[in-house]
Amino acid sequence: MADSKTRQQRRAGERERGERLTSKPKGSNQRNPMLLAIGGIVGLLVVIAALVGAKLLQSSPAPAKKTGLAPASVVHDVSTVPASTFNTIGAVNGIGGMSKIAGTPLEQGGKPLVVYIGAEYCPFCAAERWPLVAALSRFGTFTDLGSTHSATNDVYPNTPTFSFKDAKYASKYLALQTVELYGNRPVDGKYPPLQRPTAQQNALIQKYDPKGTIPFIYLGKYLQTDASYNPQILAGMSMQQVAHAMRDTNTDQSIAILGTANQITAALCAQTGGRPGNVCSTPAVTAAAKHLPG
Amino acid sequence: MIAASATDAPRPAGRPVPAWVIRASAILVGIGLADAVYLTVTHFTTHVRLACSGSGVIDCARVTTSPQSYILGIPVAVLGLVFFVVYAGLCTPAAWRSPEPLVRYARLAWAIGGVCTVVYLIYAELFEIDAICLWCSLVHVVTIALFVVIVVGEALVEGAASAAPAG
Repeated sequence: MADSKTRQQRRAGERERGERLTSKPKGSNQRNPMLLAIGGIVGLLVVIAALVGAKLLQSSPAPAKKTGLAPASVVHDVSTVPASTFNTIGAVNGIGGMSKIAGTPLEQGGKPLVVYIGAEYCPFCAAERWPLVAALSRFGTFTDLGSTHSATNDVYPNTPTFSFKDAKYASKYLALQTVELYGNRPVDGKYPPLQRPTAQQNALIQKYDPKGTIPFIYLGKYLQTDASYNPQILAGMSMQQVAHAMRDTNTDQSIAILGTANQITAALCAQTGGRPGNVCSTPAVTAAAKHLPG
Repeated sequence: MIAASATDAPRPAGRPVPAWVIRASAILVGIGLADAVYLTVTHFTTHVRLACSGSGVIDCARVTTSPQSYILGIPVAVLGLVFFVVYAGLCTPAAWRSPEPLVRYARLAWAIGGVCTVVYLIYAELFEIDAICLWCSLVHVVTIALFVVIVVGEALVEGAASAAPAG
């Protein structure tokens, strides 16, 4: 009796052990979805960490602080004008200096080329840089924009403005070349040369404006020479005041600068094939396009 | 008299979703929705400006007025708002407990789509715009956290279902 009990117990034990060995361990099904979830989360974090790491590696370590840069708040205000503010100003009558030009528009790196040629002493260039920076910032990003003013002994003296001398511009829609020919402080009666135009830029000047008017802004299908508005409206203002005033749509500065910026934007959109759509299809730009010279 | 134990209390019908998953997803959706509303309002109005630094690496306006602030012609702020409104529907207690596979797959797909968009937007901020928007980053963090809560929540529910005895 005792023996048979023991045998039965032994068999039951063996059966139980066999079941334990052949069955899946408890919790193995539970682990799989959790492993998948953790894998997904880790994968996502790795991708984000890789992006941040690549950016950190790309940035040069502790760049030397540059002098003569435009105040960051000014660059910010001019380069981040809301579309609604541009739309409030819309197309402005009486914007001058732009003409339609013939010839195949130039490209650089597969992108339409914009060429600015001016000088730091020039008050008309000083006025024109404000709308140009505002317009180009809708297609890309400026860095290292300088701060300067027109000559003190010329008409519209000390007009506050940016300098393109060391500025860089990155855009996936446009390529930009800038030349600041001369500084704004005369030395021995002459303005000191800053940058020389390339052969291609000289050829453009010869082709479209042999008189050599500055500012000379080549927009592919259009050319802007001279100022589009009177620099007098910037007289006595600081860069901060101009930047602030141009965002207030009730001011003369806003109407002149953003009105010109809308027209330049329309000319640029004619070059980019209407890209980006969120810029080129705004009411302000479509209205300004109708004011472009025919 | 025998006191009713916790196990005797009526349990909500449907999938056994941990309460913390439902609570966490609701809180995150609420934060994301509030942020998305704020970003949308500042996108369409001029008198409300984003409370954010305006210079250096942190520059909200530079990001929200950049060409990348639109996807297929639609403002990203509006897309974010729609994203969280749909999320609000997918993360209600009823939706979490729903046995319908379609609801579950839709929530998972929404979470995956959300983080894919976040990865693109982080790329655009770091490499194309060269500036970071703090309010957008909050949306990114909330979207990633929601992804974590949803995939872990689904894994827990799935695991519990697999471990439960058949019949």
